[in-house]
Amino acid sequence: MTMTAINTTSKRQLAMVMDLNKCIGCQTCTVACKTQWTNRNGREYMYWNNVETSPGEGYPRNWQNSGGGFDKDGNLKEGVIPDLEKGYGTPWDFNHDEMINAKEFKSKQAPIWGPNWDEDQGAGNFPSDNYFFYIPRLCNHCDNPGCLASCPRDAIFKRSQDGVVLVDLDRCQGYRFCIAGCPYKKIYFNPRVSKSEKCIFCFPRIEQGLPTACAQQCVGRIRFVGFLDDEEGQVHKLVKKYKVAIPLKPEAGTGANVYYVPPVDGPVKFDANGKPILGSNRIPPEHLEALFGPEVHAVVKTMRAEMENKKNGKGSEILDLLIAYKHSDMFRLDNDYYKAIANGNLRPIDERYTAGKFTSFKAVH
Amino acid sequence: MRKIVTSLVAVAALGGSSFAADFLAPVKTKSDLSKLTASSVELKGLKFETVYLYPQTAVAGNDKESSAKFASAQALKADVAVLVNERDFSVVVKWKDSTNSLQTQKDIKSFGDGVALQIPQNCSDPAKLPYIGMGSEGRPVTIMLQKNTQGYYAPTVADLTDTQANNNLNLFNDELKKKQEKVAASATAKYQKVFVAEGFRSTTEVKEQTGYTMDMKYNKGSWTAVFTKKLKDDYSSLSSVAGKDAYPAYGNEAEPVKGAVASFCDAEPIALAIWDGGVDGRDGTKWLSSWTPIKMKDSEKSKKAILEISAKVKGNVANGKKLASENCVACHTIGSVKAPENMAPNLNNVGGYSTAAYLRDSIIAPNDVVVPGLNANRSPMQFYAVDGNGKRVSNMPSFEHLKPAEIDDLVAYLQTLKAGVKK
Repeated sequence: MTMTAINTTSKRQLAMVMDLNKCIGCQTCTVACKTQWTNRNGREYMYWNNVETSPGEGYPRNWQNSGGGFDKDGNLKEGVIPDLEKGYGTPWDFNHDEMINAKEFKSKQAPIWGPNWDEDQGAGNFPSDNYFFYIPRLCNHCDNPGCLASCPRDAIFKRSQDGVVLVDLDRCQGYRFCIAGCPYKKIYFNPRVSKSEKCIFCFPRIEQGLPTACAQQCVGRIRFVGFLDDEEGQVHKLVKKYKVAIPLKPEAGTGANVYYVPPVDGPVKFDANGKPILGSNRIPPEHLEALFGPEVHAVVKTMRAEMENKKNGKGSEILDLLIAYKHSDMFRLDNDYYKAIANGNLRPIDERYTAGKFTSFKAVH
Repeated sequence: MRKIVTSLVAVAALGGSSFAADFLAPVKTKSDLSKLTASSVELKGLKFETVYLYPQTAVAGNDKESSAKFASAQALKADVAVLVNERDFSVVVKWKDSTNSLQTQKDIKSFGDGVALQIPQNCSDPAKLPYIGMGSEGRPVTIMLQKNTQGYYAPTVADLTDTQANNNLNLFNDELKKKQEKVAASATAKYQKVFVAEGFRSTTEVKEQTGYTMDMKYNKGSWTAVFTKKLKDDYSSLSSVAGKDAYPAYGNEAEPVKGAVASFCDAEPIALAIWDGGVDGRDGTKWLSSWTPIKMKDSEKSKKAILEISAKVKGNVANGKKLASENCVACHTIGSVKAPENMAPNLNNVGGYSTAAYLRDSIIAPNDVVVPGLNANRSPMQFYAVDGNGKRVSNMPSFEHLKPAEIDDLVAYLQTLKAGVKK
């Protein structure tokens, strides 16, 4: 066995862009993911994809302040493992049987917290300046994943073909340092198999040319999926060319590959008499900066200018693109690329996820 | 550092029984050791030797809560005995733990108590044993690990397709019941695993576990654990002749066995690790012993090896401390003198779990053992650099320019770096 350097860099990188201006918080993505991957076998509490209300405590509760990621110097920052009941919330059962006997309908245990618990609460004062928006979150398939860096077993790997970050379930021994290490708290511990599990970017779908389930099902058509280096792709255009899509919590230093077009204009504020204050915006720039870093201000400026252009009949490629006319443009998965790697094989292009990376050990003497 | 030295003196004052054993003497038995459990009668009246385990602090994990609970950990005393028969060899370990911690299927933050036995795959040179933290490149180890867990489901490859890739089960009544029974049957009752490793990142499970048995039992504030393995297996050899059970002869001066993976040693080193679920212990959050030799054969060779492995270097500790402050602390954290993070392994308990030979070797030839840190993308400040062939090369320069007496002083000082013993 040789100790090769960890596979942390990839030749190509898959990425996702989400236009938060269009997210209606319907949770169709959440359900698409849940029914596909996490409704069974110890994953019941996990939401590989969730939509939360911002500002809010989110899922798991208070993930923004739960540590992980890297400091300025690139050192691992300490993090915490969220509590199952108080942090994630366990799916609770209702007393269906007792209802037959005309008992009050209620949950069997007192619900403490759950995903989307603080839906639509937001911040500010109703009706003058309250505000919120939705933010769907999934694993960011980072360039330098905090989970990977903190795994003492080298059980997390980044696929060189497309940058998808996966847990090698054969190597994983359930130590959970990855959970502390992820600044997004998007890797979960499955207590039934004693392993960590996370969003797999629907790689079995992706390899067949289909987008992730969350993107495919999105009714608001807010999600774009493609390779960052595909210059014809909308993902590349939004992220690299026009720079209007930016990652969440860039200060975590992980190089996230899920990008967001930030909410540009909320409704205007009302004055004491209930009259709209023209030109005002309920979403404080500081709140956006806390989520997306200082870059967000330039993005908002660009987006406003583009909206103005569109209004004035000057046209805007960015806005045309964000309208998301065709799935075929929104999802460019380069199936020829995968087909070439797979060489006509239906199996995953990289079998480490199912087979284990170092399963055969050869002693060296 | 004064504090640590003082506590050592205090321990010494307690008397002979608290001293760590220089070696373990195996007890011969005719019992079938493969059936040995933590409740077996064979354990009664067995003479135990003391082995101290020290908190692993060379590389820190990133779990804030666990690190805080583990921060003030003291050394742990374990009682160890070794049993051998013609085919098998057993290590019995007893230690105190005020909490019986169990990793459950219902909680994501429960951690079970655990214990591991580590055996080098090659011990022919007692001065160049594997790194104590699960071996090192080119110096593999075999590890038997057991943890206190509620039964859990280890997915086999076939099950993975079933649970990961397929959609919901369209099963009802009998069919569903059958499926559920099948799933229940796949639950592992206990976490008992065998690994081979060349450094903690490389730890790889041995799936075809034949000839290994383990058991651990909690009773009145202390754990008793047993590990049994064949004297000879694919990964290590505690017997001198291939295929035959040569132990009763106490090893003919063994010729290296053709095709055998490992060499037989007259003094076979083992090391122990203990985890406390009460401090969220797992992986590196553990107590670790130094290599402790088992006298498999009474010979000159074994005497020499025991002397090498258990050596306490005579040197001027005060001068060693001075040398360390001049040469080491810029990169290594010692005591409360903090070096930049991720620059080099923390040395605070290095005296507890290292042999003198390892300490000496690390000073003169830092490349012999490169400790694998976390955060592999971290650069340039890392324990190591990766050369053109993907090989890790230590970033520490050799200190062979120090005079031999100075190196003795330094090693003598480093041997004092260890936590006090838990009362």
